[in-house]
Amino acid sequence: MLKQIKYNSLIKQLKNKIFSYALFMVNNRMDAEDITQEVFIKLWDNFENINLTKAKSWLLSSTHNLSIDYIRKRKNKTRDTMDISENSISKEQNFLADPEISYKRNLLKDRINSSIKKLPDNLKSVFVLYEIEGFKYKEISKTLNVPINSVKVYLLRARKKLQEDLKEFRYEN
Amino acid sequence: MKTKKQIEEKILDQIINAAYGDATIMQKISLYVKMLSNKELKIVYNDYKLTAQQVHKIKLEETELDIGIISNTISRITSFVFAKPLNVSFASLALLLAAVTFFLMLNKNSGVNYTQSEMMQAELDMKYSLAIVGKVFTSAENRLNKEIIDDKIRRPIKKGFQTINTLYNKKDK
Repeated sequence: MLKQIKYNSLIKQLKNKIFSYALFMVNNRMDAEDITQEVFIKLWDNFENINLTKAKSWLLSSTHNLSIDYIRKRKNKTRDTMDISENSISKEQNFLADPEISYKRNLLKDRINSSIKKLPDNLKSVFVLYEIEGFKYKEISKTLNVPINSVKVYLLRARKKLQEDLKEFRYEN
Repeated sequence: MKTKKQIEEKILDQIINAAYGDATIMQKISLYVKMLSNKELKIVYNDYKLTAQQVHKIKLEETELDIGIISNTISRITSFVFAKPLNVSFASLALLLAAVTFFLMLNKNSGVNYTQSEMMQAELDMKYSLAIVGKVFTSAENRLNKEIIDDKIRRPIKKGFQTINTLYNKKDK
């Protein structure tokens, strides 16, 4: 029972992180849910062997590996996908008085999401883990098994690429 | 992006780090000084900062995957019970009451059927026990009347009165 409680609290704490990361990586809600579920099962099977203090890294590392497997398996990327930005924009309330600015902001957000998804896998993982999931350099380094300096370089490259991709969208404020 | 190409790679990295909030104070000051003299840098910085702000606004996607009703219920109960000290005491009290009720029910239902001979034997045993107790009581009463009251109380009092009378008689004479 203690195992179940520990497991449950861990999953409750990290399930959205796992799902979000998988969703950014595979760009498909159904696949992301499958990955999340597989990670849950994997965690349950290996619960006794995992150090709970390192569980976060272990979970994200498993999610990353499974996401890469899914991407490799899925050659056809034109499947029905649900854009993450659609949800986030519809959920977000519009606090801005000027509808034009708010529209542009929403459009920018939409473009940012699609640009993130277009990033190469290594840059995308580092970028999502750092900027969206809030991981630290050290944690990302452990999770993805890459040196910290590489993490920093990937992050910088991802940011540059993102900006480059958004250059047409650029508007003066 | 003509402006960016003109900007040195190192300064661009500094701008990116500052826009995303990763730069050190010294880097920020140095960049600020540079931006005072170069308006292009300021534009690029603002551009990156706008993107960074939008990136940081991206929220984690929520998954509806559930790991099981039972474990959730357990978790909810435990989290409620251990949420406040008052809850802990209420839970303990409820547990105690449940335990007492359980034992009472157990005792009530544990009636054993005895045979007639067993009951007669039990009555005889009870009478024998009562007789022993009665005998002990009688013996104790006799001892109290004869030994304790006669020897320790009545006789010394009688002796005392006799002495007083003797003394009075001597005085009268």
